[in-house]
Amino acid sequence: MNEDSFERIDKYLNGEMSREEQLLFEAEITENGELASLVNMYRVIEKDMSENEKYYDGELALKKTLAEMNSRYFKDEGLFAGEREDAGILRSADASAIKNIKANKPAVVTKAGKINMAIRLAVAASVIGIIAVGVNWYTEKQYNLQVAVANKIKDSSKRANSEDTSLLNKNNPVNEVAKQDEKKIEIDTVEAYLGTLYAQNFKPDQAPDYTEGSVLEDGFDVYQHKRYAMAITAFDRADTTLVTRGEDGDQEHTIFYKHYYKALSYMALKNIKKAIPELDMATAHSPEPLLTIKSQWYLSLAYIKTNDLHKARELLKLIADNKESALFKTKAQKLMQKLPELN
Amino acid sequence: MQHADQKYIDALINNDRGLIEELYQKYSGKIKWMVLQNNGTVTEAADIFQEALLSIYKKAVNQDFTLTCPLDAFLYVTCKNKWLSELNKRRSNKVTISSFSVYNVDKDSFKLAEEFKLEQERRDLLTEKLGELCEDCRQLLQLNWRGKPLKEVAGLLNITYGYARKKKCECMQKLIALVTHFSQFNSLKW
Repeated sequence: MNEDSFERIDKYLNGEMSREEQLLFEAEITENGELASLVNMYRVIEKDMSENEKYYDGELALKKTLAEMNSRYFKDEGLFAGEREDAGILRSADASAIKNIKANKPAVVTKAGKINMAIRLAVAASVIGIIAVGVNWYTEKQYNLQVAVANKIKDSSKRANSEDTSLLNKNNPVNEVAKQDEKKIEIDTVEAYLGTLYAQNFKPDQAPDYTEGSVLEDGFDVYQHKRYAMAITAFDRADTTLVTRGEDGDQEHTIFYKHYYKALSYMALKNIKKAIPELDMATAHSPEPLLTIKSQWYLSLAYIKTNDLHKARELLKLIADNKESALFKTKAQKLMQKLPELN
Repeated sequence: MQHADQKYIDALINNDRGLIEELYQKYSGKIKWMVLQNNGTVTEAADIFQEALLSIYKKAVNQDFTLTCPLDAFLYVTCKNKWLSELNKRRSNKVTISSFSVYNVDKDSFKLAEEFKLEQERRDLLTEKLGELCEDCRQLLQLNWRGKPLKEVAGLLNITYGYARKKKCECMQKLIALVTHFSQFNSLKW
């Protein structure tokens, strides 16, 4: 194979051949096994190395973080106390195999070793059984906690409205402290519950189907690879006034998507405070009813996460009453049922 | 089905320091122990752990990498493979471990780690052979692979587009020759 072959391969793989040239080249590949292997190697190397180099900056940033972590967690010749405990689980099982590595001998399993293995397996099986019971108990407890929290909030709102004030001796400082403690426990429990509801319902939306050529293309590219911090930067840099395909609709969609996906990137990075104004902008610029519903959905989740249940409920009610999307209608109805009652 | 430990993969992608620290707290001890018990030093353990995490990062950013098994087992097998490979480079006789009694590694973790190992070996070979090319070739190819069109690369390197294209093909020809002449090329199942 000569240099000319490589030039043709490069042109072919980059789509720079005319249709006729392409067909002729493909016929040649079919008949020439060596050429076919070369084309394959060229393609694979270009793909693998592009993947390797594409995220070069991100890799550098991660290396810096890992180097810092390494200097904290890999500093002594021995093990830290916690590590010894972890390592102890492995130490007894590994002793003979390790000795043999050092002596460069193959590991040998003895009869005693087989008996020990049987005992270890039996212990492992009973541990797994205990863990299964524990998981079941924990899952049930979590469900009961959710119900208890919802009921607790209903009860406390009833109490506040009740005319029976015998229990509320405001002059007794002990009762005041007890009330504050109880309120703090209630708040902490409610926050945890709402946090769980948020986590169960939040999933970043997919990028739109057609992104090539869009001013937001770079942002969508890193967004799809879950590089949310980079996505925010890319969306920020995108100039939506450059949309010049002559249709106002395109610019409207572009402005919407810029705010919408920036908001979702913030939410994926757990920065809900910054997500909310972006979702407000997205909703304000939404060119289609379905896109409005989507941005309202995420906004309702953001309000749930920030404990603003009034706003969350208002939005969920709008979505539950919509005629555009049965899917979001159902999602909103189900989520509303799980929200704690308001006073 | 996605495993709960997927959050650590996402943390690597997003350089999330909090979760990465959690990952170190949970898993670095076992890797340190494994390397120390196998003629390694703490520095080598740190290098192996970092390499493993960077490998996972590279796979995750380029493909939709969904973790379907616990991260600790996958990470352990990956680090162990890397350390064995390192030990084998130093010794004339091949080091083997006849069983994985060391760790309760489930089949899924083992299979994922083995597939990962093959991809890694291919990538490592490419990187090594790229290092054997001249500086001009390396620069040109790396700029192109970082997403810059050849026209832009030509501008950056102060050469004509026609020359850049010709040079790229020459460099790829050399790189492919180096890779295909590697003694264990066939075992990498390219």
